[in-house]
Amino acid sequence: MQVNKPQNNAAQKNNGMGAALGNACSDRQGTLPECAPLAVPYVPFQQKGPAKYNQMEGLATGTLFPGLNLPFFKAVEPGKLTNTALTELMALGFAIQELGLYLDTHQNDSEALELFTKYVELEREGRKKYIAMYGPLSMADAAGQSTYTWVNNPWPWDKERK
Amino acid sequence: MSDSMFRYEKKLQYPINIKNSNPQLASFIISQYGGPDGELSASLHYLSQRYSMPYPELKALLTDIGTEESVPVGYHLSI
Repeated sequence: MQVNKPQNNAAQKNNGMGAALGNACSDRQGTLPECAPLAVPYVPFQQKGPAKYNQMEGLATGTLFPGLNLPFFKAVEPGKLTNTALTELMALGFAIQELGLYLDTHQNDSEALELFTKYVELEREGRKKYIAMYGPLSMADAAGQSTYTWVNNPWPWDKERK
Repeated sequence: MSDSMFRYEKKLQYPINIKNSNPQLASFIISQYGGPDGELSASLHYLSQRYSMPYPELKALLTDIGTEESVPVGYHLSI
């Protein structure tokens, strides 16, 4: 089995804030409550300040967190996505989604909240540029044009013309 | 559900490129989505369970996961 090696990225440079925050377990491990109700199974809690991939690697890997990149299946080499305005927007959207879910249960992780804010700002900028070039992403984006461009092809299921 | 709102975005979460159509595989995949124990039913479970959830962070989590589970509609319907 192939061992997961995050490539060259944030994951290794930023081995998370974990150690600095005095986490008891490694980044691939979580914590359990010391005392817990009987007969209730627990899933280990992800600790504060986990290592993170950058957004493109996150999208290609299927998780933003190296600690949650579990090789249940044959590892697909990440980084095979073509860099386009759309994939960049997808990657930012995915990173926001991942951080949002993490923050639901780690409300006081200020580092993650900062990163979340940064990605949201980048996504807003990217979205504006994308819309200007390719048309509306949401119905409301079609406002202010001379024709109603929301109905225009292509839709996501239309095959790209090469 | 009056307080849920479906808002469509004209893009996918992850790029796909189907090279060959495969109706048999499509039928398996669509039952993973809409069939028994599929994502659609999980989505509705989470979105109903959140009403009796007392903890705010878990109300948020159930809302967000329930929303996320409904995302594959964009993929399955494009097969």
